Amino acid sequence: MDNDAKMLELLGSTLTNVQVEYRAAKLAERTKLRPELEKLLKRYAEFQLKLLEDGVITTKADLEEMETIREEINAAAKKQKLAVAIVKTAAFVASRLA
Amino acid sequence: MKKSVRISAVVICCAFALLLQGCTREKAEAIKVAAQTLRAEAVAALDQLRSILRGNTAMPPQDNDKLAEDLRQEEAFSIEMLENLLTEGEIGAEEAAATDAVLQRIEIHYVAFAEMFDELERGHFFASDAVRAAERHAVNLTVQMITLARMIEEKKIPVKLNAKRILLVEQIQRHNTIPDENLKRQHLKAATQQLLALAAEERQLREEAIMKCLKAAEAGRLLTRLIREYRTLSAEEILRLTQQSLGVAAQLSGQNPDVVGALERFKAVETRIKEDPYWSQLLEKRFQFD
Repeated sequence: MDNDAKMLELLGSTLTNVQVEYRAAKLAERTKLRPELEKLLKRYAEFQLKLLEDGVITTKADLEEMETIREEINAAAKKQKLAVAIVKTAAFVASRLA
Repeated sequence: MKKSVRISAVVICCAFALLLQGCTREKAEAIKVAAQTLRAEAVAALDQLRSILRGNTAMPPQDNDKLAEDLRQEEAFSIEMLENLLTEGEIGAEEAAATDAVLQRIEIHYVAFAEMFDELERGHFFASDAVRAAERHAVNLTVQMITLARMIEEKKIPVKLNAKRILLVEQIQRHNTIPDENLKRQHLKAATQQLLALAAEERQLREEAIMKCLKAAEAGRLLTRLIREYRTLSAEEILRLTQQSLGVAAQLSGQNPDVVGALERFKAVETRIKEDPYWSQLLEKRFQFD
């Protein structure tokens, strides 16, 4: 386990402990504990999010390029449809020339 | 003269028709199906990751009996306490939404990638350059799934059923307050069984998530091969490759899958991508390998 994973585990354990404490607390204490719980939850989520973001390879530019490729394939489909129509027409004309 | 024109026209028509109706249509269909499979497998893997990430910080639902008891004991119940109780369900919602957004961003790429090929069967004759341009994305999306599987393995995406852990801690704490030593021992023994069951459940969930990512990676690996060899693969080769890939996917989905072995296998796929000058060039050094 590398340091990032260890850090995440430590944050996670601390969070679970605070959650246990929060649930066991009386109503007045719960109100006081909530900011600490939320702060810890935010810290854990931010760290997890950072690790997740570090592992993301795909970019917005990729998405734009995929859209361009899709348009090219769609244009190819239209071109092919037209070509098939031309071939069919030519075949029809050729048969009439007989 | 008329006859020679007619023969020429028929020959041209036949040749053109052969080009259009030739084996590239099967290849186009194979690519389209493979891209849809990659999308389906990736979406399933990302759905499981979403559920795992939410589960890592989830709290169990409020125990109504305890709440009633707390309310009974609270003589100075205030508006702040009421406000806190009413909004407890919102704790962590913002953080969960932020994590969902990242996973959604990854998912969109798989959806967009599959949609690229929707019209490929109808445009296969003129689309080979566009298909070639898609290869880099297929490699990226494959490596993305291997990376996620590795992150789970390395516990950078931990898998813990937090709500169940909290309930177990509470249960053990309650058992420890039992004055009768024999009864306490009995209860703690039962809790030990629950602890083992929870560990097994978390391990299974973790392995399932890794395997789902690797199944998606396998679909991506097949797709990358189909795209790379779009011009040269025969229909028989496509069938053989698809069957091989289905075999790998079945192994990954089977009972008691070998997670370590599967990760090793895909580490080899990743290494091949890294060492292949053609593929590594496609990745544009954006992804830093170990």
